[in-house]
Amino acid sequence: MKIELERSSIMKFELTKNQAEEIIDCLYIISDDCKSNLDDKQADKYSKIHDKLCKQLSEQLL
Amino acid sequence: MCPRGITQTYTDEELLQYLKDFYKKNKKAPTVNDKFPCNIATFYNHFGSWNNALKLANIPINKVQNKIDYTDEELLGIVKSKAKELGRSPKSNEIEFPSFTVFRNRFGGWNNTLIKAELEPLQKRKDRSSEFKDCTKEEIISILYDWSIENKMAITSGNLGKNNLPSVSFVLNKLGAKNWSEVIKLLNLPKSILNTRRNRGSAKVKLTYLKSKEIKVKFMLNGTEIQDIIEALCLADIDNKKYHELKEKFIKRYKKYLASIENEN
Repeated sequence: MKIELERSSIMKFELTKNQAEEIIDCLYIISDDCKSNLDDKQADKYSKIHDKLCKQLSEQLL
Repeated sequence: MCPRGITQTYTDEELLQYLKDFYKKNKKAPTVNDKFPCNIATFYNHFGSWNNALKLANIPINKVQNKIDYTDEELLGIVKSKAKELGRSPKSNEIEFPSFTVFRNRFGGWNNTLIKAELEPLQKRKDRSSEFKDCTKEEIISILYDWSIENKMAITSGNLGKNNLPSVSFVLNKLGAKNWSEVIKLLNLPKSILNTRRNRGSAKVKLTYLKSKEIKVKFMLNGTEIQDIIEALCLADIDNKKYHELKEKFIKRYKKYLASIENEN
């Protein structure tokens, strides 16, 4: 239950816009590498987080 | 094996044993690209760095593997040699030394590395945006522009990947944009659309802030997502200082988060 709590609890994570963009870039590059290696599961995992961060970032900046 | 939480549920001894077992079985020092029962971030969280973990496990650190001053020719030579051995373009995880991160940071991706080595790039998996793959940059801009006009609001990244629209990553890549605000600038939407209810009032202030890289942004993430981000940063940080610093910041913040959960219970 404790582990489940760790995994599902939502936390607020503050970063500078620059740091956020670097993380988004990193996730994009990593997922692209995973795609190149035909590792769909890993690529999907990183793509999903990448898209989520992009969405949250754009909502704050628009 | 069922993965567990990041700090409380693995002991240092268990983690070191994973490394020792790997070393014994494979006769080489493990890297962050190898698979373990726990997330790679767990090792960083316990031992601070990958090399520290190897030292504590009494595993010799492979200097060749960690060498970062390869010339382009040396790196491409390694790839060509592997291709000759396999009779085809190698996957990045088929190169033992150095880590594929070194190649990625030098050449901008594995397929770019293969192209530089005059080898055939690997075929990528089918992208959900494949139906847009032949669209030009202008056509993508036109699609997003028309959607915004039709819906009387500036399109957000949340609208993508559905509504018969391509994915966020695809759009960012196609338009060469780093973030969604750059995409919106490229659309050159009329002010009446940009100033829809959700943006009204603060648009000017936010545009000023956009010029500053130091503007603070907040993300709502769960523990699994944070672990995955740390894992991605671990994969990217091998010879890249900026990713290393970000990874450290994430781990520090995540420890605080775990402590707050502990206190709540």
